[in-house]
Amino acid sequence: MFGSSGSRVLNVINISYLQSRSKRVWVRKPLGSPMAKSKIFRITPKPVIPEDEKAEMKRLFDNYKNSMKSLRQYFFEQSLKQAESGEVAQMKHRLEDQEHERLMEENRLENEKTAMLREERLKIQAEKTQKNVLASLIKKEREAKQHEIQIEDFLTKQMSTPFIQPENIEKAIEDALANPVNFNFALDLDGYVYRGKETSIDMIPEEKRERLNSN
Amino acid sequence: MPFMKGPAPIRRTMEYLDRNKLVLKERVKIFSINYNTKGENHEGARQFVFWHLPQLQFKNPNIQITTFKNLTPSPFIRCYLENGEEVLMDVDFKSKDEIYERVRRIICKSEETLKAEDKLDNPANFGSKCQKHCICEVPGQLPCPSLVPLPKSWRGKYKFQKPDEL
Repeated sequence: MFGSSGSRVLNVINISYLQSRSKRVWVRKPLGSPMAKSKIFRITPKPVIPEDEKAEMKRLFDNYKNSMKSLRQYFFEQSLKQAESGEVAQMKHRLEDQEHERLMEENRLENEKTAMLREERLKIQAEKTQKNVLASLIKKEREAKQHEIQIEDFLTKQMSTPFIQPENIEKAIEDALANPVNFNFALDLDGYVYRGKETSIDMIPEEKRERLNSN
Repeated sequence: MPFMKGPAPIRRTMEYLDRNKLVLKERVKIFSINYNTKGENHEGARQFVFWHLPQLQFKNPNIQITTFKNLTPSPFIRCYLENGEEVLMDVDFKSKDEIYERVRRIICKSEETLKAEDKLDNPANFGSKCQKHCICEVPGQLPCPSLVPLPKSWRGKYKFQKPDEL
């Protein structure tokens, strides 16, 4: 039913070195084959051990395992110590320490070199920032001065326009009442003024036309 | 198959992590690097952390590696050794390769030590990470006792068995 699964020497453990060349050796049941009919409902009897015996056995085993583990660790540490105390190991240690010191020295020198480079760079940067700050201060001063000049101009312009002071107010009122401004005028595209509401253009001869003068 | 996520995911491949020589010496216990996220003189340190820190941790799984960001104006690496000693490496304005070389030279195991410790290379080593699992695999040596039992006089359980004491 199963045939010979694979060669004759697969999955072989603990067989005698002298093999039979004629008989087929049954090593194990093929992996995918079903359970035999005489075995499918078989329930193997589980060994029943009383609880207190189990506890006692566990206690004994635990003690044993603890002692063995601690012994093993102790021996391991001892062996490490022994390995370190030997002459070869001592020499190795000394060489390593020397090497380490040399490398630390090298590292220190490198650090110093980097520090010097950093100092120079920072100095250059400090000078640059100083120059920048000075330049910006100067610029600010110049701008402030220009601003002042502008304000002066503006103020003088404003002062030159005719303001009505509190002393001239009565005279100004009388003048205004005496000369009312008449807005009833029209403008021509050529710039001639035609005053009055009722004036018609044809009534005025060409020479008498007024020119709009800007005042 | 889609691309791996993240920037430069090659840093997460086994080949990349394996192929470097940053095995720190045994006396180094903590490796810390201080750098800023902005600043031209921290560029080398930043690149070193980005490319080489995963490799370093991969090769030294039992060493604590920490990064401190934006604390000091200049970057540096500080290693804390077993005996309390501190190794300070100023890496201000250095490039990533310079930092890599410096770390390798000062606190990593040298090539010779690595070669001597390499189990795979030496055919005299047997075990899981070596060329052969057991000396019984070598032709000319004793065959495996699981296949061919040893003579009783060579086996400890018979040699030290004292039947008169039992």
